Amino acid sequence: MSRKTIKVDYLARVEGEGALNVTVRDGKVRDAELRIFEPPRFFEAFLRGRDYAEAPDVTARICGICPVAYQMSSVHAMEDALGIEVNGQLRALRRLLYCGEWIESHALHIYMLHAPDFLGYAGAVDMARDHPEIVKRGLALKKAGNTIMTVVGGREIHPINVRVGGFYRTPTRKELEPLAETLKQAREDALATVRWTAGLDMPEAGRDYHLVALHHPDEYAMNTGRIISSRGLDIAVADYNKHFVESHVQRSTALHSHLREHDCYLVGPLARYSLNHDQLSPLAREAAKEAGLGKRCNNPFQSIVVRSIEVVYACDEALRVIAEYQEPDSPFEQAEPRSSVGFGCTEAPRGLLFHRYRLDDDGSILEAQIVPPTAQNQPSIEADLKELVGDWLDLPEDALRERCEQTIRNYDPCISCATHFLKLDVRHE
Amino acid sequence: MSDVSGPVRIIGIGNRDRGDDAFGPRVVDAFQDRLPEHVSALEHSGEVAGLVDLMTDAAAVYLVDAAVMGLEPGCLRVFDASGSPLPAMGGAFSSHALGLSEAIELARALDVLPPVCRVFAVEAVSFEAGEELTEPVASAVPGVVQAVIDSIRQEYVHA
Repeated sequence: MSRKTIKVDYLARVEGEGALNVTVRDGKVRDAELRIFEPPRFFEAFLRGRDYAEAPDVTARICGICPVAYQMSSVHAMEDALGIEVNGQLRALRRLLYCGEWIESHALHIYMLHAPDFLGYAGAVDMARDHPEIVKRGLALKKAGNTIMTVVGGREIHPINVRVGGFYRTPTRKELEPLAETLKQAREDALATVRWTAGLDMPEAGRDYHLVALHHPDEYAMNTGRIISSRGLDIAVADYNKHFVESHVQRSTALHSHLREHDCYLVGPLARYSLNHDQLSPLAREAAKEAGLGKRCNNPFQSIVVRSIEVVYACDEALRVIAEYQEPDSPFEQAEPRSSVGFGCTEAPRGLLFHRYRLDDDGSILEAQIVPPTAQNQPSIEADLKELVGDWLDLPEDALRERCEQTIRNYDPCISCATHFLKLDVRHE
Repeated sequence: MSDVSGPVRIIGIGNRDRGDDAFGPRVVDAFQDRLPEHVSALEHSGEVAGLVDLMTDAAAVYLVDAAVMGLEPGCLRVFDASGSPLPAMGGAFSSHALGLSEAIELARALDVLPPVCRVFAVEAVSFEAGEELTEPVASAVPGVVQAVIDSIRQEYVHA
């Protein structure tokens, strides 16, 4: 019996701390365990006893990369609980803010965290020495996203302008106009990013994923819609807990998520793209076609191309919202506290982000449940490693270790959100 | 002593809501109305693209941050990052993959690092959410403000 162990003590270019163990016996991968040991952060417990209105600002502190996602899922859940619906220009402004986050988060991952894997660099700094113009383009894209977050959200990290019912203050048309010029250049940079990522040397890989994403009949879903899957799931957000279950596994301080009847599933850019392709803007669809992608993508390494396409879409969509913007009469819809339960689910850059709150009659939070995308993708990451690593066992040790890390980075995992990560230990037995 | 041919920026890095992480912003507060025209003091989250952008057209940057260096609480160390990378240390921004050291090295790799780049790092005690500056770190503010002023005066004719 041949047995082999490959060990990586710290995985770079991911958010948070964790490790990976892969066991190979007789040339087959027997086990792959993603160990997340970053201490739990207890945000759900922090929220108990707080006023419902505090949830968007408290949950925004969970992540410095995707604070808007936390704000959006929490405000939608609270609005559901309080029986109000945010429509018109307020809804459009939220979509604009989310576009900003998709652009800055995807640009960070594409250029700073993921691209070095494909080009053989230890990190973005090394890559910048050889490809300065490419890295400058990435930074410019990220800055464009941050600018949206500053103008609409009040600041670029942990925005402060979102409230239950709408915003504390809505921007004037004049304040949004300069954004349009920035976004037109960003859209050109995003198209160049698609062409560049499509030309990267891409490992041949793929699995028959059970894809799960939000779907809206009229738009590429970001804030609202039903939860659908590639195997026929089609449920209201309020029914999330009837179909998805969280469980604790000893190796992770982040709960694992499963579909009750179908085990592991995939959320994030590949799921969104494959389930909602036809709702991308014509320019984004054309860019995908030129990049050689069909309407569905099952190669997790191509997630870097799909993220680039989503950046094109986010620039397009942001420009549309700005062009059609009319200053609303009021920055928010008034809400009255009541004893109730509310559900919110939005598409964070890394995938589906579910929130559920139970409120007391004075509006104080009795229960909070937050299910981040990285927690949901943990079983899928392990399944990728179990199924894909076997094809790479002939690679030299260092290259195999690097490929395993890259397989995890395909997910743009945010361990800090999930707990919330990474050491890698591959054992060949 | 250098000639000034671009803006001089004092950048206080940090988060006002996280204990000693507020040190950089608090130093920026102390500079208000005390700076000549070509010198500005700015608060910044530490986000890498924004930091590189602030360095790109500057003649000099003075970066003020709280850090974990294994020193006595509130103790100041000044690093000259213009010629060489910062030593490895646990910074206040290590939680999101790219921090101050990476921003400086990215700027250097992109050939946009200003000729003068000084980092004023103060040993932090706590980064707890919602907490105030700890006493030893709060006490370090006036001394660091003076150290930055002295450094600019030594390096520039017009400061």
